[in-house]
Amino acid sequence: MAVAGTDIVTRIAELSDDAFAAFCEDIAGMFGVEMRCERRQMQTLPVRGLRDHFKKLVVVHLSKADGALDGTFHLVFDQGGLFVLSGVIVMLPETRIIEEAKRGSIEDATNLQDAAREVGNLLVGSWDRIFREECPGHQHFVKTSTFIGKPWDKPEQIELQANTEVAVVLYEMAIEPYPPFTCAAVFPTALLDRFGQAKPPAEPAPPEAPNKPQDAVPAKPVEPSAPVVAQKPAGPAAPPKPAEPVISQKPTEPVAPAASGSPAPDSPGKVQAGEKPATARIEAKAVPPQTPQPAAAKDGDIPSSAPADLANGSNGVISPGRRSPSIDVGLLPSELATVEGGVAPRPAGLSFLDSAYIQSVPQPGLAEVLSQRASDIMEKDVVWAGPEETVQDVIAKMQQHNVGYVLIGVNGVLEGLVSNSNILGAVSLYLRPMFAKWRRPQDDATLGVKVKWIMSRPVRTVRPDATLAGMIESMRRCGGRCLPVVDAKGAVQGMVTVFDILLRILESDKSMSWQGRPPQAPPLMI
Amino acid sequence: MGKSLMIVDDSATMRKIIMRTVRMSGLEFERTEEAGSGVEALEKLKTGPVDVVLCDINMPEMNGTEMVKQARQLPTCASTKIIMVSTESAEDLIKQVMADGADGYITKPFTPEKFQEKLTPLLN
Repeated sequence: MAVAGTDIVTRIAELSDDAFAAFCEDIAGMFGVEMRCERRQMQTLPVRGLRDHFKKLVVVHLSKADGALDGTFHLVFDQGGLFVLSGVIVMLPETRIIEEAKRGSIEDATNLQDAAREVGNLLVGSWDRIFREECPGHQHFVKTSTFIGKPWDKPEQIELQANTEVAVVLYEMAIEPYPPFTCAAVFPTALLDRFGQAKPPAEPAPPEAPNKPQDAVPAKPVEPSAPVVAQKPAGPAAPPKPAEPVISQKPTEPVAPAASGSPAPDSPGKVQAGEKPATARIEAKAVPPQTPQPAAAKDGDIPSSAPADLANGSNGVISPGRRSPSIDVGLLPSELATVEGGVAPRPAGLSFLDSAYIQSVPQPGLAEVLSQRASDIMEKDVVWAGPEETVQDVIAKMQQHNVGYVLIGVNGVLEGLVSNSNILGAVSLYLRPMFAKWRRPQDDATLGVKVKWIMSRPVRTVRPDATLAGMIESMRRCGGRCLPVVDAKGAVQGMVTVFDILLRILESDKSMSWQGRPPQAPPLMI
Repeated sequence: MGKSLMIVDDSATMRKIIMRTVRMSGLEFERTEEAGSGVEALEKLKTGPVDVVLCDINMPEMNGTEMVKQARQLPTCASTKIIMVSTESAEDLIKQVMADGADGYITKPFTPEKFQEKLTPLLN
């Protein structure tokens, strides 16, 4: 049995201290949290002995090392670490993180696998940076996969054997205000035996290399009962298999061979190599925002300048768990004639306007504006979703395209329409950031409702030659704020919203300058 | 005129993190959109100009370097600022992608201040 020298194990433990400290600093800086890490133990034991330290769910990040450390090592977090770290980076409510850290299931963990994978990427990035700075001969680390589950019955799932001897450096890590959790760096002693016997640095990898996960991760046979392997999906993710552990694979970016650059300045609270205390304590706090300094050459070539104003955004409060009573309706096809026929713009089109407004000094060109056609003002790039898509899918589309309305249908056949109001009426009040503290899993479930159950139907539409005045009348009469524009065959040509109409009216006053488009999508709900 | 921003990353979580960090930086974009791959980003970029693109390097299907190369061929991207978001250690990749037409890079771990520092000049 290979037994790594004590000095090597000690050196690796010191590097682990610094690497976890760097990770704490990185997370603290990115997410504005206070985070600390303290080494608890360092021991050598067979893999099956890890069960004593990690009894429940774990997340294991497999990292392939090249250079001084040459092989695969493991970074393991217990259930608390899995849910706290993943929950923090996606800003889950505090109560939910605490609850799942105690009693979270594999299903809960599966929901967070993308977040767990990103935690692993950041973690291995921190480790790689420290090793490049402090470990001569280091080339690079690549995170080859992330495992979520209980691996100890079949450690082959994480590329280990039950009786393989490993050196384990155990830590207690904590992010305020959550309970501390356990994590560990696990190195096969055979790997440490080769420590420092570095191969000559290889030529830098070609740029394409890191983007081919199948190249970076040697294919391994997977037993039929092996965990789910969730590769980075190109399209929508397949439904998870809750009862099984999850392995997701996406290598981190390979890194340059050990750089000769100057080391980073020491950070407060960082445990220094060579000063190993009985227990190493590492703390990191979020640094308050500061006025940006002139651009440093380190991260790019863009000079700095003054900060911009703080952006903010909020929306009105909605009633929990209720459908919005408002339904977006325009004209039914059978009613199109009333709009299209009423082409005489002034008398028919303006008859609905408040008499006081009519009697006021008319804006020059307003009548001309009100006679504009739908085809002149419609937004041609409309956003579609399928009826089987979820509320969350549609919210994502609204946010991506900054629209307040999404057409629902298949193959261009209009079946319904979902508005911002429909969305806000369908999802739980507790998904709103101001109520995040009370957010429960059943609130998240409202994001999974299929849009066919909440969409407005039938959809009132207008023809391309409908006048703006006619469309205003339609909206006033039927209460909708959005009218899809369809041709004689029913094919959607575009969409006119109340915003488009208001903009045209405002533009009719030449003394005003009116540019831009206000936010229209619903708020972010993670 | 308000600026537009596109975030390109195959991880939905990372896209949200980047979006949140941009917002925390105090930068204002009139329009923001996301793309889950280089291919999707190019399709969107073909339809109209975007002022700033924040793009991951390591993505399946089409990586960030290839996306930059192809984006630079698009007439709609003539004035688009493309900023790569990557790990600090991918130095060779960063050099390569800068040579391919990227305008700058932001390394992970990033902070709101870092985004502010890098993006403010582009918005002015």
